[in-house]
Amino acid sequence: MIIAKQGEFDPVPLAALLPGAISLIAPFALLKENRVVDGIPMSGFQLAGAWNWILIGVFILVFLASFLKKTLWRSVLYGGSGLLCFWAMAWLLVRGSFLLPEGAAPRISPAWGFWGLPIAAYVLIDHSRIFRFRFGGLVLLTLLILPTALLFSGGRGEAISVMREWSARKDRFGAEFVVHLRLFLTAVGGATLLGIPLGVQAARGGRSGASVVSFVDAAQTIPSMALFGLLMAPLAALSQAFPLLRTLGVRGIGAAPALIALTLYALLPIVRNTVVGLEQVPDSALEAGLGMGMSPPQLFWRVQWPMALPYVLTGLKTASVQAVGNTAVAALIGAGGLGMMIFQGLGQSAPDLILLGVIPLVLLAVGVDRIWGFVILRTVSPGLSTVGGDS
Amino acid sequence: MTLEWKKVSKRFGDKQAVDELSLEVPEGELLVLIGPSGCGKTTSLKMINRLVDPQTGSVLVGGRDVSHVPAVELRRHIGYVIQHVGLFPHMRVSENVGAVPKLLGWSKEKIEQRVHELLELVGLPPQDYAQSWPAHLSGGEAQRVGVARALAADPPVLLMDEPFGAVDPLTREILQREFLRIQSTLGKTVVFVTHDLDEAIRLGDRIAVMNEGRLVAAAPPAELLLNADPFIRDFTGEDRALRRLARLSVGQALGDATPMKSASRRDASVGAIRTDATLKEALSQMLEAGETSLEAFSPAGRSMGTLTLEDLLERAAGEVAS
Ligand SMILES: Nc1ncnc2c1ncn2[C@@H]1O[C@H](COP(=O)(O)OP(=O)(O)OP(=O)(O)O)[C@@H](O)[C@H]1O
Ligand SMILES: [Mg+2]
Repeated sequence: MIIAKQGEFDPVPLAALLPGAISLIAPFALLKENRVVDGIPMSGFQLAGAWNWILIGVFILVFLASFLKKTLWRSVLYGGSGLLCFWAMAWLLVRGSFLLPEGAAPRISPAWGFWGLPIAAYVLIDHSRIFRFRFGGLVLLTLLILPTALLFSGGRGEAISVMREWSARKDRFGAEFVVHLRLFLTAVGGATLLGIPLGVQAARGGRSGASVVSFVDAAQTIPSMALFGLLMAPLAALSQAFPLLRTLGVRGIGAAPALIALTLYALLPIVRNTVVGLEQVPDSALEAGLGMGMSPPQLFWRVQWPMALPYVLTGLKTASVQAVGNTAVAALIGAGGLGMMIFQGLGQSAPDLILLGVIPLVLLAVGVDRIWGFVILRTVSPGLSTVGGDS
Repeated sequence: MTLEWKKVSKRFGDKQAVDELSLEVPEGELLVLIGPSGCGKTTSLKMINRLVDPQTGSVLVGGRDVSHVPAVELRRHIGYVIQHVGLFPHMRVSENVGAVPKLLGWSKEKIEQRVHELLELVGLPPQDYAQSWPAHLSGGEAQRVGVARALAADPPVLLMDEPFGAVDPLTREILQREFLRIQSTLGKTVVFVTHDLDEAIRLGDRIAVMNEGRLVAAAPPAELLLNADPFIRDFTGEDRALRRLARLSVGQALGDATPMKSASRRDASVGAIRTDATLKEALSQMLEAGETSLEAFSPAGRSMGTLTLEDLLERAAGEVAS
């Protein structure tokens, strides 16, 4: 039987259809003459015009498929319609930009209904199994980006609000992006160089190690804004007292307090995971190593470190992903970065500018997460993960 | 290589783990250390490779006081199978087995060849097991890898701390039999810790019984089972007469006599037993059949004489030196 027996009905795609439908019914985009005017709301249906039946057809297909037996074909349908939702999102924006009124720089801004389609795409693709193979992630990325880029090419995408904001401040954007990267990389790099030795020390059970852990723990409980504030006064005082520091760029505001705070924040997951990683190494492995005649450094590098590695790397991953976001907050004390766009956008009530900061921020966080995932996969011994039967 | 504990004592806090232990192990002997949990077996064993240093007394390996030998150097030449196997989960089986040779700086080819040899020796075909991860091994396979790892650098001394502890009785028996086979070809000096009396009797050339840190007795299994010391009597159990019978084969009881040329005709009224069966099995067979004698046959089918209940009584009482 191809119709699902009881218990095989799959509710997940229905959870994707709901936001998808919202995109079609609710205001999907605002057509504006310029940046400040209110704009005309348009729903997905209105933008799609005569092409509506494609979207509706896809939704009905997904709905029917959720009653079908679990097969590869069902998975293909989910994955395919997920991709379609994503492409439709880009395509509707391009459709909308053709309907724009005349003006110096008319623009189409995503409205709240816009987000339904990417959410539907995410749920459907995540639920499908078809991209779960060796280079599946890469194939998926290409399938998402390439058609979208083609749709937007040849000036068809330039009326989209985020693009407008971007082309108005290309150079600033590039500069802030680089500042953001530099801040976040320096903080994570510093926290790694500091945190791993501290964690190793703490795991050895030294008193200094234990006090370091409690200090780092305490630092983490201070909200980031407060920590930035706390650091401003002493750094400003230091900078006043020592002109040398001032010439080095240490001031109450700017990169110095931002870096200190970001490093402190990144420290916790790194120290914590290093300690946990080393402490979970079973005594039997240590005894076997000692008993066969390993010297303490050999025991560390051949047994303790490789067995702690998955924990340490997971700590680095957590610290990095968090640092991407925390760095945005650092813009508040004048350290620059993508946070600048976001806070400026908030100040000017310009949602398009906020998006120009948020979108690359999210992509950066996802990218960093994926890169660490890859590093973990490549460097951690397969013997340490019980899943995957490679042998 | 000989081993010797010379009046060694070790206390942890106010717990006297080992108390004035003196014991010698001659070259090539398989000595079993046995005793109740917490009696100091592991502690005594670890004194040999200096994982524990005694507070008083000395431990000699090959006549040399181990406290004068650098610990790392000493340990690389003593095989050690720890109580909980302790394979390195991040290394493949081949890397686990090759760990000590690698510490000793052997060449890659030599290590690979040695690993191959050892896996064959412990009954794990290298083509199936060399590349596996410890997490994918069964308990028995892991124990075999543990033994192979300890044997890797061909150490003259082997320390084994309940090496077959964590497996089911059947696998345990197979592992014991294979270990005896390996030991008969390698002839290492072995100290083997267990708290399983059957295992001790089956494997040991000599059994040393410990209690509360002290050595109570050290004797070959047959003698130990006759020992009148109250603790030993208690420890060896109500059925120690049966254990004695289980140690001897029918052939041994008949004195490995030359085959009797005349008695080739089988008496149909008498049960038959093979000479490689144990006396315990013979007794069981007599009880079951309600007979007092059995005719013994060699595995090749030749009649070897008649085993009587009197023979069994004599043996069980230990009146005949084995
Ligand atoms: N490192 C240590 N610190 C404190 N006490 C210890 C230590 N090692 C052993 N002991 C104690 O010394 C005594 C003897 O321990 P040991 O491990 O030698 O016993 P065992 O005969 O091997 O027991 P089991 O059969 O349970 O393995 C026990 O009471 C144990 O608690
Ligand atoms: Mg023990």
